[in-house]
Amino acid sequence: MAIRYKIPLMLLLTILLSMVLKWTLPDPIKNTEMRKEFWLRKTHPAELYDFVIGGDSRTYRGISPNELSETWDHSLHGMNCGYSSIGLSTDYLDYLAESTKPKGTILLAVTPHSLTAEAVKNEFFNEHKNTKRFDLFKGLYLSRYLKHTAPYKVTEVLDHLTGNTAADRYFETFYPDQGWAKSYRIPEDTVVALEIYEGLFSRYQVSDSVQMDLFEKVTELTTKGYTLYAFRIPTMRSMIQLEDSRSGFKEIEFQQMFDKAGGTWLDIDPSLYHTYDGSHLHYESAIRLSRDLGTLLKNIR
Amino acid sequence: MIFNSIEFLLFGVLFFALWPFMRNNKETRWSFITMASFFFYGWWDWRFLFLIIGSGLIDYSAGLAIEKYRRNKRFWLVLSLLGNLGALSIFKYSLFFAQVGEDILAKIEVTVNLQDSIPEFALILPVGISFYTFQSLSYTIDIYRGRLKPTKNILHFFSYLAMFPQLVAGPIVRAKDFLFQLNRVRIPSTLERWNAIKMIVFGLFQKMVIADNLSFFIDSAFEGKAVYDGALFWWVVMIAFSFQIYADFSGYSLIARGLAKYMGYHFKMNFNHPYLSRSIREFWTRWHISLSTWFRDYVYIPLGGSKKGFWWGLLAMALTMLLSGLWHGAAYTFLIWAALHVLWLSIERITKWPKIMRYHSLIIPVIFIQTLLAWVYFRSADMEQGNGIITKLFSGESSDWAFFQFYLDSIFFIGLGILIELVIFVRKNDQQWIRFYWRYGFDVLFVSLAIVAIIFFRGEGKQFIYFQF
Repeated sequence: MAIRYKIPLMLLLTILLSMVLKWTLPDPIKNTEMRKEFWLRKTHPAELYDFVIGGDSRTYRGISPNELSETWDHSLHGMNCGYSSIGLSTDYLDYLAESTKPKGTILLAVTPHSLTAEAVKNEFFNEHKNTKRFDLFKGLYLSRYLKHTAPYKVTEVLDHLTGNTAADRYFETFYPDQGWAKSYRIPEDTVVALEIYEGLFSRYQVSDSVQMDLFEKVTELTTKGYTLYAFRIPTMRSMIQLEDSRSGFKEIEFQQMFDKAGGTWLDIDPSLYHTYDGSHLHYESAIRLSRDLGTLLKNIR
Repeated sequence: MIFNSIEFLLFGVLFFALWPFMRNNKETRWSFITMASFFFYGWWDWRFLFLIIGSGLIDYSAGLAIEKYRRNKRFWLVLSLLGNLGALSIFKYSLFFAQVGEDILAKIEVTVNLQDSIPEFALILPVGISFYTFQSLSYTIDIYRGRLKPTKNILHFFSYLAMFPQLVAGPIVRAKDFLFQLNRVRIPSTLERWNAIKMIVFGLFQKMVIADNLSFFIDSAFEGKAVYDGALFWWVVMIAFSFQIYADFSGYSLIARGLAKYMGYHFKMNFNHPYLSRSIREFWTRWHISLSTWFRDYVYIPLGGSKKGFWWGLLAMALTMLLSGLWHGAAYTFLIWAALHVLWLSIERITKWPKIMRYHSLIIPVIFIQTLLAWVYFRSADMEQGNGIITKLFSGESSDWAFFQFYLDSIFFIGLGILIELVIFVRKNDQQWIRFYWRYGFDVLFVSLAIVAIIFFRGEGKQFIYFQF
């Protein structure tokens, strides 16, 4: 074959093969490009929100701000600022306040792990906070185009080709404009998280100083005019029992201190929702929780 | 910036769009290469530029002084060595030296904390410092030996030293091989351009598809996140790492060579299917060739090589290998990695067993296993982990086979890596196949498939492993 034809032929063939691949396969289960935009959009917001929701992975997978506004107040625009393994540190609360309009609302989804000294190191959050300028540009403005080139896992292609639907899969769809991720797992496994948390609480306990710092920050922010609510994000009953017995978390005391600091504690019945892994809410429950939370807030106001 | 990034894509497009206009005049060409390379390097951290410029200025001046003051040439060479090795010692080895100092003093029951007294700036390892330091050193040493005339133009020198394709991870290009290339304009032919594209694409494929897809499996094993254990598990992990480091580094070298070729320059081959070697000696003629030959020419041969007798040759080889280990990293684990290679090479020299077994079907797997065992220490965080893994490899401890299913997304790429090497092994001397391959343009198909794989099957982006060296 003549050399001069090789480059154009290679380009043509590449385009054709790519089109066939995209046409044959469904979208990748995990879109890594959307994931980048997802984290960076919430870390570096281009606007201030009427309300923000803070918490760990149970939060960013558990509450949809749009669904919450639906039942609370249509005109309110919110962002879920949850991060994996986030700790409710003063820096994190400052960031939540900076993302909120003056006198806006901050909702804190509390988990015992988010009150440990280990969690408040917030490595994952800091990594995104300190993103280099060009990486930020890529994440915020290019990812939405690059999402069409998100890579596949070999196993998902094999499963698709062989029609294997029984494979163990975790599904996650990101909504960067809300900071919410719709997630579920097939098949569900409600034991897997319990084992992990048992290990976690054998190493890390809820810290008094983290809680005290949090309450001080709540007082400071409420004095500045922000409205703060907190609630224990629903999870599986046995997980709550594990957390109550192993983490050192005293929910009643925490509620009292939070209210005393100027915030408002919200009671949510965890039995209404179900998790797919023993920790995180199935997306249907997440939508329900978001709407229930909106109704609750509406009734308070 | 790294080759597998959007910023490098933009940089590369802009560079090669301007290159035809910049290459015709010497001064413009050198200025353009130097400025582009400094931009490329400064993208990591602009402060790193001070070091490469400082190190370069010392060698540029030393080169001129050696030529001008031949009587004092040794003084200027020592000055250059002190400048380069001094910078390397401070930025790369200060922590290790402090640790060694502490360990030695601890033996005589003196407890000191030397590591905490190291200034903070010395704890930052500038990317690629070992590579450009060695390039720079070869320049002054070759002038000292009378094998090279120094360049009088500082831009000519910096366009050699800082040239972006090989700046941070090699291949280590010698001044005597490259300065003259920079003197001339060479417009690559269509065939050379096509070959350059192939090198870049196959290099990216090695890095982004093979190496990056293996990293999750390897990292979770070495970081203790995997729930699996046992002999079989660790053998698979180590096979994966052997292919990861090969694909990662060979991929980088291939991209660098492709970029240089597209500019009209030639870099020598840096990897030549090392896992198909039939002896450890042969392995070192196929693995990181530019570094091996650097150590051969500037350390092993000046030490006397094998000319001073068998045992002296062994000693020179051992010293060279240990220095090579230290070049890779400032830790005991790298020394053990090198020491294992010394052991394998010594056994080979004494028994000559690979020559006797040269055509035995198991020779290639046996040599591969030897390199794999050394890689254990190369990858381990510390000696304890390395020893633990070696023990597990030979423990006979059973593994839960479920790890194959769990890590299938990574393990698939070990298979692909092995398959590619096997095909090359079986077909590389098959003239009929080669003719068939070229006649029907199979390379076009393979390049296209590689691009599609890079786009749709790339692993999670990671920095090239050799950047840390």
